[in-house]
Amino acid sequence: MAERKGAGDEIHLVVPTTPDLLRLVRVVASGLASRLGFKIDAVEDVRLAVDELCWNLVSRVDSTSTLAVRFVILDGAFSVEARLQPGPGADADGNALTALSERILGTLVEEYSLLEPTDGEGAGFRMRTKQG
Amino acid sequence: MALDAARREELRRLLDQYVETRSQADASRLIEGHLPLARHLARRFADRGQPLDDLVQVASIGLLKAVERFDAERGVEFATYAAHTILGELKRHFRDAGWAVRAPRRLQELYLELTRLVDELSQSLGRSPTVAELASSAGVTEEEVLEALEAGQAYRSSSLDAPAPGADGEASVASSLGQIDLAMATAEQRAELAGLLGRLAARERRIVHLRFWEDRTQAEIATELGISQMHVSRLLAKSLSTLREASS
Repeated sequence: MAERKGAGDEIHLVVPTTPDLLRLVRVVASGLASRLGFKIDAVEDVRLAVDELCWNLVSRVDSTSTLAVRFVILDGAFSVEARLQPGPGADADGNALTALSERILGTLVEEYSLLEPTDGEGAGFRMRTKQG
Repeated sequence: MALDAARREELRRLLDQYVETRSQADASRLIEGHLPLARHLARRFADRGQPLDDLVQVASIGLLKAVERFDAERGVEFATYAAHTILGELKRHFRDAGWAVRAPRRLQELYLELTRLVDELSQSLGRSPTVAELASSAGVTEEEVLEALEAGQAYRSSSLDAPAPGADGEASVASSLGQIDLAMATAEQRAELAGLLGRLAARERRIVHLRFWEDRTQAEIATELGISQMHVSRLLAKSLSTLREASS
């Protein structure tokens, strides 16, 4: 994918942390990967990685919380940054990654990291896809 | 599973009797008498990643329906009618059970079409196709391809999918872990990994191992296991979902 398609463009998505709506994060991620000309197995890798990180983040929170996700198109790749926006009284912390999750993510993406909660925001993650 | 002539004759008489009486006891005896047929047909589907016992259960439901619906007036042998009904039940099971979130039929069909196209295009292009290439070959939009992929991955991961404890033996879990580089893992992590990976069926564990420990591509794994790339993709997604549920 030599062509630069919308590098620097951003997409913002805020979704409730329910499984049926979290799929929208996957849908946007795979749509972006497709737009960037990723091959089908690379699209699948992105979907699995996003799923793994989102699940890790939201598995302890209740459905009053939301997840704010920012996709940034890079040169032949894109990054995803997500932050929990906890509902009233909801837990703002994420989970540590298991050894298995780390192994999986290490295979699927170029880089990833977990983000600590800050004053106004809950825990989060950041990942950058491999070149498609 | 061939029945001897005397047994066949006995079942034929029982069937005639049941047609007259519609008694529950006769139905039960008929079902019991034809269970070897149900088991035989269930075994035909045993390589699709589901426990044989579950398949026999599904086949038995088909058999029950056959007993209830059989009409001797049509001049068809009961065994022929039952085999047809049982196979229909098994096929329906595979068509439906794979789709936890009920996807529209057109998406299910498109997903199956894509499964074929990914393999074909990978062969002709010498690499995995892009979504645009798949869309063009299938004569649909890229959005429809993505929608079908999403629907295809909405695979239920339930305890039904997990092997029964010890189903393929602790030794095989241990041996597949033996191939995995656990140098990075502490004893605690090693135990956790063993426990989690042991929740997967042997083939899925193998796929997870090849993908995440040997860094093999989906296409390479598909070739090694003799299945389609999309099937590998689907089994990977299902395995990770199972592992997440197991670790929560």
